[in-house]
Amino acid sequence: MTIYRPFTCDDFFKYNNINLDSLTENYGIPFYLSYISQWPEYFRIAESASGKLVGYIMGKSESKRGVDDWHGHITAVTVSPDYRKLGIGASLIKFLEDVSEKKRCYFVDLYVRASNAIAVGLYEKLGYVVYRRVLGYYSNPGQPDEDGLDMRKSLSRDKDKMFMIPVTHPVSADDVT
Amino acid sequence: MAENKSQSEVQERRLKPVYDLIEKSNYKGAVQQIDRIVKKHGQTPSAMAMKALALNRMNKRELCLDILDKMKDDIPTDPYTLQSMAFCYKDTRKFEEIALMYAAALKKQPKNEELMTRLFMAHVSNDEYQKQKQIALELHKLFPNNNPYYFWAVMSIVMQIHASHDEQTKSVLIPLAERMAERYKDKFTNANELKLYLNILKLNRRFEDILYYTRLSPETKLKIEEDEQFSLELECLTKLERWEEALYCYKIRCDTVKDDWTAFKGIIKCSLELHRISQRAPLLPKQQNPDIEEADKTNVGSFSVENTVDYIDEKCQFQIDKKANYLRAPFLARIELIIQLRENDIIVTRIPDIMCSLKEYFELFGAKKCWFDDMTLFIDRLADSEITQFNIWMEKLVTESAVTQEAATPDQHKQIKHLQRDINLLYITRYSGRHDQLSVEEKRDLISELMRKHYLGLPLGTSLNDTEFQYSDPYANVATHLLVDLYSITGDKCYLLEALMVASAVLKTSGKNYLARLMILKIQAFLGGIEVCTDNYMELEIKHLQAESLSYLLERASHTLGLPSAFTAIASNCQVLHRSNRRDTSEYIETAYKNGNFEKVLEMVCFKNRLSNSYYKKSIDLSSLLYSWIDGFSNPKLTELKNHLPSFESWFDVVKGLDSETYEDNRDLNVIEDYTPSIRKFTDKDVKDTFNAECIWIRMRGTLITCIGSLVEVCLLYTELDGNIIKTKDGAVNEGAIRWQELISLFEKGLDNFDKEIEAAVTHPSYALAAQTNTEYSLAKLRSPQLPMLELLIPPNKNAQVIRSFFKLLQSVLRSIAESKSIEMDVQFLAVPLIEIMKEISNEEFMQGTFDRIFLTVEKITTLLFTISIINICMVCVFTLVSPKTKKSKKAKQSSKFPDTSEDINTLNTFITSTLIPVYKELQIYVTNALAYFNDIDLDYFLRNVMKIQPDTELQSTSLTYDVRKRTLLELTSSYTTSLEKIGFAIDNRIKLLEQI
Repeated sequence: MTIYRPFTCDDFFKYNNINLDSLTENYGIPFYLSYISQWPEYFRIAESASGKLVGYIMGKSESKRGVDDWHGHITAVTVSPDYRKLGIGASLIKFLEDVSEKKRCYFVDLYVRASNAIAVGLYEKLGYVVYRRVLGYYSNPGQPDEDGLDMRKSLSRDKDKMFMIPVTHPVSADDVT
Repeated sequence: MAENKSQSEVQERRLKPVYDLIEKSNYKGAVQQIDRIVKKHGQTPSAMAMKALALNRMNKRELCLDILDKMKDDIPTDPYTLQSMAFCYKDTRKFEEIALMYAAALKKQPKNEELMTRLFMAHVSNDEYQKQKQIALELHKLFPNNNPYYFWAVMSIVMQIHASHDEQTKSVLIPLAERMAERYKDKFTNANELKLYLNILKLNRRFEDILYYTRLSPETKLKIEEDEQFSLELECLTKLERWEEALYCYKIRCDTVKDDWTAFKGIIKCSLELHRISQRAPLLPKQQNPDIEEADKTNVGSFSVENTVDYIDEKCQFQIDKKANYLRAPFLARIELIIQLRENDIIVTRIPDIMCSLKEYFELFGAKKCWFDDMTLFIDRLADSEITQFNIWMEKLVTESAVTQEAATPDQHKQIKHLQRDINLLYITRYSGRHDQLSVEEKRDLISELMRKHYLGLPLGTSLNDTEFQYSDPYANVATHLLVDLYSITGDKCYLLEALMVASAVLKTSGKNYLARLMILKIQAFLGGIEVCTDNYMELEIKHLQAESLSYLLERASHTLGLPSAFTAIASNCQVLHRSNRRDTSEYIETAYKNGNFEKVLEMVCFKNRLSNSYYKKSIDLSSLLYSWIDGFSNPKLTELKNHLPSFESWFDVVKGLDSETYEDNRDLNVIEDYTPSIRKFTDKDVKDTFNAECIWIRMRGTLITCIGSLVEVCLLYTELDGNIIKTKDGAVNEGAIRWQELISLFEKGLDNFDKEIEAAVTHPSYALAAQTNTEYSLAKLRSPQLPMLELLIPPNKNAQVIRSFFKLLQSVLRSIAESKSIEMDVQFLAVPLIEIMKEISNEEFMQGTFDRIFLTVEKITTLLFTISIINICMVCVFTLVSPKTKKSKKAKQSSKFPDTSEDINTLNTFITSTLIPVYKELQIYVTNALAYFNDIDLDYFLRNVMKIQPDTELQSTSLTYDVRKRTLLELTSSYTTSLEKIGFAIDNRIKLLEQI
């Protein structure tokens, strides 16, 4: 029902009803442009039948230097309040996984606030597991830092799901950035 | 070469600690370290470039540019040095210098690939498409095996095509681009090159060729994403009007992606087009197309309208048979098809009933929040009787289901579903215009009922996260809009206060409901509660691009009223975005070239231009200038005036070409959904009209700045030359006289334009609307956040008229001086008009003190202060020009700076005591009275007697308690108080400064 299409720069002027949501990070324009200019295939927007922008996903594929862990990464995925529970988030994530499959990635990963139970629940439903807990990954203005969960889902290339074996101990934010 | 390399390595090693210091933002340390290196090893280019960089980061721009200027002549070629220099040029916004620098270096090393690519990118950043094409071709010639360089050149031509407004140029460039891309069609190394080629074919309307590529070339199928291929193919088929094939493609799509609305819409469009053609002429035998033939076997290629009806019916039935997780698209398509058949007068035997389809859609999806948005596609296309019938049916269904709910054991999940159906019913009732038919009393009853439902729904959401909205928030949201409607009808601002209170009540249980907060922001801005407005703006965390698209909500409150603190709070947010646009966006355009993401290049260039031509950016620039003059003239030392004012270059740069510039409207006017009938919605014409009004306002402010700026420059020039402007040696015109004439004509041109803009504003449709006092006026005011601003700041509002008449006076003074006539001008001559002006601006209604009128008091006072500040600047300038002139002959040598004789000071004192100080003192009284009003206001009395709200009213039991209402009102009034205190402080300060002189 929803129309999915590549995110374009004009969408910046109309995405307020998505980005005003308190859990959606409203990044500076250069950050979005760095994704548009390098990984446009990973940046997709969902539009309602009447033409409203209702959600988007932004991601990339990368590997850590010197490590054979080529993977897709979900940087942001969000759906505006009135369009939740319609499977839009799941479709967007499925899309990113498909792109990553084509790029021969081993897995897809993402970070989520440990307190965001709804999102964690959704990711788990879609097959993601908590790979590790990252201490103080999110900073909250005026409040203590919050832990992030590093969640992963193996793609077909990682037949034995080696990349999904959880790390037993939490790691510090410095270890992942 | 080897020696050079090792030298560069040595340099690199020596400068390593400097890099580290800069990295740690220790610029002072970096400069000291470089000085030590230079002392020991001499001035190497890389060291000097690093020094320039460090100085620039320390905000020592002039020193940085001095170093770069010297370095430029030596033409450095070392990439690190050039990169550091490029950083400096970017920081100082001298982008053109970067291209010149690399071009010069390239002359010394013509085959240096890195220098060449950097020059290419420098041209990209400057939008120099022709030049970038040349460099790309040179790169390709030198490094022919590197495909990207060749496609950089092709893309540069595409950019030339898009930038050109001349059809003839385009007709030459498009085939050129096509030929160039075609030459490589067997050698494409990736999908981006192919996509660029296909895009060029599209520009040349070669749709058949594109189809050939998308369909036949196996290579293409491998490389372009399936979705992209689908939309490209359908675009071509539609352009070529090959409806049969398009229909076939859409059906294939529908069979695989079962919820694709675009595909369903496509099927309907194609089958109707085919029907239209068949009505015109008997159908010819089908074109032989292997795909279609195949399709016929499976019956998906049939195209009669009946067939489409059946096809969509089947898809719906398939969903029904699933018994769960229904998809919306087939059902929505069925409604769309019925309506389109009706709209096109096509009679079909088995057409489904519209009412049944609508009912079915509500039964299946009415408990989803998105239902209303889906319905907006159809409501306006239904007959009134149908809407009424549908509404009645919905009401019955919802009421019945409520009864069943009560009887059965409470099931929270079911209750939430019921609530959402009721909300959707509410939306549709409002959207279909039924709320507009209610009387004031009925509306008030409805509001009470909605607030009761809001309250009753709250327990359903106790387990929701605090980041989520309460299920019953929409009731209060609609109540807010209804209250705004009531204000529009009655003109009673108490309804706006009530609306504020309702929206505030929502925040009590849904702290993150941004819809409620946006409404609060809009209403507060309308009521002039500037301080609370900025607080709310911060609370919404509006930043980055949102500052551009949403600031219109409080534009009037932030930077049009002469309150610098509110202006800075809002504008600084936006200035960051605009300042970094040129640099950052260009950088990512370069990245897109490097990655071969050509389609994003064009998109980002358009984005860059959209931001750099933003009207809001211009508006902020102009307001900043005005504030800097007002601020500069608050400085009592007139001799130091020049250091406190913007330079000629800086202000002239902002206003030049103002009348020919076109601006981009980046407002997101759809951020607040108010569910009003489309007939009352902001139309495209409204959008255009209000934007035009903004542009008039920008030009008016620009001409105001031209007048003030040129006047100030005249005054500065006059004091600099000791009044020796016109006197010439041997009849020759001296430099001062030429400059003087230039400035005067600039002033006069500004004045002419000012007149023109006043005329444009007065005759503008939005202004005509704002001048009316009937309901339409009020409605328009709330529909457009811009209109109240017009009311206050664009004449007939006396302020602009007053400034204009003052400028006229100045014009005659300037002319007199220019013509060297003796000016017998008593200071009282200037004082009289000023006092008149005061009387004019402050009309008798101003301080009458009813609550309704008092709303505008703060705005009026700030506007007044603003006007007087501007007149103040002009007065000081004129005095500078007029007063010392008579003393010139006596103290020609002595009085090089004004005013430094006791006589002058006395004259100035008389002038100030007799005019400026009394004006400020009168204003001070206004402020004090207004402050007293807000301090003494008895909110309980107001709530009970004016707003007729008793602590024991029915709503007391809801979330909208008496306390919530009182607190909201208190916030608003204390916002007025804070603003007034700030203004009062500014006036006191001004008086003190004047008294010191």
